Amino acid sequence: MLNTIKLPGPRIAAVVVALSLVVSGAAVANSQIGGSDQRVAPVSEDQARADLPHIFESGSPVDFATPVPPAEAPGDPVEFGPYRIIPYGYVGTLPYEERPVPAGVQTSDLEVLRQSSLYREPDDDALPDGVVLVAADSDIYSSEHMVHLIYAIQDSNGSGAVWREDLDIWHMSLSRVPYDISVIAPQDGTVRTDIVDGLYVVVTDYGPTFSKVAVHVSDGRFNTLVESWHYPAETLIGIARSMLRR
Amino acid sequence: MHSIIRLIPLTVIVASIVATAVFVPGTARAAGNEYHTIGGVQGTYNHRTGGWHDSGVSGLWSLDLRGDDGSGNVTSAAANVYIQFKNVSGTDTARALVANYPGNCTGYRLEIVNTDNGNQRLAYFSWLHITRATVNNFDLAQGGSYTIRYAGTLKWKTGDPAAPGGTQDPEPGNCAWSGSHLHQESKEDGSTHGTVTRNTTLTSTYGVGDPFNVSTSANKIHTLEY
Repeated sequence: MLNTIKLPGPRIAAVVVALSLVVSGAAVANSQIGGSDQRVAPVSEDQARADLPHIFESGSPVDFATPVPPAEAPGDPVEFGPYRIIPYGYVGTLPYEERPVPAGVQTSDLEVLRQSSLYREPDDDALPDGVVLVAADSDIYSSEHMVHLIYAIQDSNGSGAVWREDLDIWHMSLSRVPYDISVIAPQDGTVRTDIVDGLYVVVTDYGPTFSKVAVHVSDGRFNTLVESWHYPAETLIGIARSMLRR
Repeated sequence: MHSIIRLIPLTVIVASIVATAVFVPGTARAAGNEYHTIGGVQGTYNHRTGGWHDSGVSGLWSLDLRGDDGSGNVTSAAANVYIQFKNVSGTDTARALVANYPGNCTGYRLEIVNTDNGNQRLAYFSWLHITRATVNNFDLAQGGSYTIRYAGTLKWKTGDPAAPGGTQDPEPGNCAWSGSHLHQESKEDGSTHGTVTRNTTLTSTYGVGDPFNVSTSANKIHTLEY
């Protein structure tokens, strides 16, 4: 069931479409509000010059570049469980549905975050040795839309706390479905989809030059993103599984 | 190890989080590399629609902006948005890795790494509330250069100042959004070596006077040093 796709993404559509025939789509029952997102085409350098004359006429060198287009047509977005994978270079409309969520507050208070319906901590044995919870917040959202946990090995350098070997966990409400994941950075990495223990998994790997890995995992009710520079995708998937399979 | 945390009194955990939330990188190494970010909305002028807002959440330093014609008039709610960096000093190369911004608000999150020093992680920068265009990973230019990448257009809804007409493209209701503006933010990567400062001297309209000289305080939003 593992599907590895080398970016850029025209082939992502074919591979994930095939996968989508096997798995069922996200449940979107009880959706309340419809909406539509967009993707727009890149602008020319002439347009950029017209928009930013003070930059281009400043006398300083300007590095302006439009993205390298995909070798083939980008193809259409593909739904995979609650996710929608947007091919690199896609331009067009992206309809979605919204679901209501409870009220929350924007906070970095762990006690408040623990009251969120999204709050989950990974199992101890899923975490790498020595990694503990070091910070938490709701990012720019309310605590019912986002719970962001930072785990790391925490040391002291004599003047304060120092983190190392860190990883980020974002628990996100599935209040907008499908949840869009844009394929980016085609020159460096891969994107793959998988079904693991009944969970939908989308892995973005930035490749050998940049060791960063981002893993989206969902059981159709919750959406968890685990991201790290230090651990392989399988470790991050295991962390997410320990929080979603309860 | 993780189970230990559950045995520690909550006050200790909260104190620990507070300590880490104000974490000043003890290992930060300012090697003379400096970049400025500039207002990202098209036009000579950017208008600040609100003050700095970090909400006490892990040092998110954010400013809301919109395009301005220099007379206080919003140029367009659907204005083009550009990611803009200006190299001020230094010879270490840096690369911007592009990612989706987590959650329902739409935009891009860039992680800046020092590619001359083992891809040392420096800081995050984000541009939100935009109808997105494709953005590649990119290197930040040196030698006093600007690095400009097109990110898309400002989202808008009917009733926004200078709403362009046609089909509106608002943020989802589950993204806290009050209408067309660019939310431009930065956050130090807590585990690494960059230092980010925000320009707290910005007036309500800036870019006026000497928009070509980014060394003036009116023409930078964040400063990244490493």
